[in-house]
Amino acid sequence: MEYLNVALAKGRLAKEGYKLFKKLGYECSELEEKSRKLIFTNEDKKIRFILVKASDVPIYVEKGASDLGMVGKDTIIEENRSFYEVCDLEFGECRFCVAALKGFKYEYNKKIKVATKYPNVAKNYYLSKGKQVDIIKLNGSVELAPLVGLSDVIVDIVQTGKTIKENGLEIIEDMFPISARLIVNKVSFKVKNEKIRKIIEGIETIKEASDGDNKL
Amino acid sequence: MFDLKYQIPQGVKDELPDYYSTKENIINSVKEVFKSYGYRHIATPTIEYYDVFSSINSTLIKEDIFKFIDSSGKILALRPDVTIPIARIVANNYKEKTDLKLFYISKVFRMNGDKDNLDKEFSQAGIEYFGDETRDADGEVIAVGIKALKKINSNFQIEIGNALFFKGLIDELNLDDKTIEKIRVLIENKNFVELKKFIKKLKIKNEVKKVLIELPKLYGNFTDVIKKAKTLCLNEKMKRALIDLEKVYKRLLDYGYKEYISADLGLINHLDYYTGIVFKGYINNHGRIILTGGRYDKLTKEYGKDLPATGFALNIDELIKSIGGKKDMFKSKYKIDFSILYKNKNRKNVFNIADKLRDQGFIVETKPFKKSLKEYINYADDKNVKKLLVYKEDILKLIDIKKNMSTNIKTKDLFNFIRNSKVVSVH
Repeated sequence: MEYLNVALAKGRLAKEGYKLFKKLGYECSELEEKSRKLIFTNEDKKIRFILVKASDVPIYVEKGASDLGMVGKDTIIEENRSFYEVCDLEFGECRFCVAALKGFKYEYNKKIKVATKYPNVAKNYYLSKGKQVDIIKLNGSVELAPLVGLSDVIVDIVQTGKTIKENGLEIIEDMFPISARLIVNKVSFKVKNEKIRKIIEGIETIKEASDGDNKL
Repeated sequence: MFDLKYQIPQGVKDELPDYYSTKENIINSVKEVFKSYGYRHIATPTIEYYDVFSSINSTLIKEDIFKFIDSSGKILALRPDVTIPIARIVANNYKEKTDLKLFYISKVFRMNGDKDNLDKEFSQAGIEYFGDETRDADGEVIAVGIKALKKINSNFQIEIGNALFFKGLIDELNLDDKTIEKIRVLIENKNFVELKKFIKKLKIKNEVKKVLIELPKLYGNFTDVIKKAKTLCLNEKMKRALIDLEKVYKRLLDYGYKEYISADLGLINHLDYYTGIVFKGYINNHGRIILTGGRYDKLTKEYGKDLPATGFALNIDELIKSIGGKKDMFKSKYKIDFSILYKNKNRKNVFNIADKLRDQGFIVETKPFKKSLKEYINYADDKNVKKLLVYKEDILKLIDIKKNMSTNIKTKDLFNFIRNSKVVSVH
């Protein structure tokens, strides 16, 4: 039988994602040890996990190098690649927001400067509102940009809002919620149908069960 | 900066002899299958007016077309697709109610936006069947595709659906085009998550909501899918769509192709173009679709004729990528039957002998004898030359490279010798 290849976004999402696979019976002891390896195989269960940078998960899945991927909706929207998005994993939940210095107001005849790690998300958001903007792509510490006058606002993901507040910014627009998703290569979805369907159903069952827990 | 003089643009490739030999053999094999069903070869211009492609509903993305301008200011296009030009040809040259089976093997060109991992130039092999609106024609076209694929890589699946099933469902949705398009994209991309969230908010009947949510799940084993889909029909059109699908399936069973067929009712792209049965082909462990097709009864209407039509296009370059290491199976090894060495004064006689050998089907090259014989033997070994002939007027020295043997033959006896020793061409 062929291996099922799963791309996990390095970091917290990989941990949460692996937990889910473990619950489904796809454990991989190698992955639980501290190591610098990037590829982990469970020969019995014919499953192979690979650890990649979050923003690379979509292309691994689109190209079929991985059959499945676990990645945040933020990365999915930003990368805009072609695959099936089959399951909301309901972890890694946060929101896309626009934040600015306290007291900031849009001036309607002025092009505003937007700093972000997500240029596509920001561009599409402002395009849909019919606003002209200059996008400044940064790779980290986006909160800094308005403070030093690099940009007027920032577009970023916000979980608790603590970082935003501590840097003297405030959220001025709530864009949309995001969470981790299970994505599937379009061809794998068909040719490894049985295995993948079982995983999706398994995840749905786990989700339902934990919903019940919350109510209790 | 790169020196562009050494580069080729992203998305195009040089096809070197080894690759091309594989490609040629695969194309020939596909071509033979098309011909064996009575399809006839047709070719369309590489350059056409942009209007041919831009003015009608098709599967093309207009931004993907390579455009340029002729000296009178008209916009030209590099052929992005072959079906539309063929429909133009058929509408211009044939009367209605003709049965016409055509095939093509052509390069097509698409810019493919900013997706630099997609080919901008690739070879398509396809068939178009005009004038037959029956399920038999639908079945035959799919069967031809299966037979062609089987010859190259039998590890594939053909998924069939029916555009009418979703069109029937749209009739039940009292929604604006924009919303319907959003739903369509979510279903096509099997985006279960966003689909559920989006539909929840809509003001439509619950039974319709249920069908919309179930639709992307209607894929896999043909019989199971149809059985489940039958419980979800909301009107005659949807029922009709399933009956038609079953009819095509029955025909494919009679072709003996059960193992290759599955169903997907979520195949709902290009709804303005496809009018009935649609299908896609996948190869296991290859992440891209290699074959797409379906019924497009409205296309010739755009040119003022009314001819039902169905067909498919197979991406030859993706097909080659999908066979990976097995590529060599299709490669003809480069070989030369005879390499003849001559002195200048004998040139005319040698050219004459070489030509006669070529007429008998041998691959022959001639070379002026200027270096030591040993160097030519090394060369022959290197280039897969089977036999070296050294012309010495009345006598020819024949060196069999593989057997490491040499014989002297009288020049006038050469052809007798070849006949008697049963030397056959390597090709």
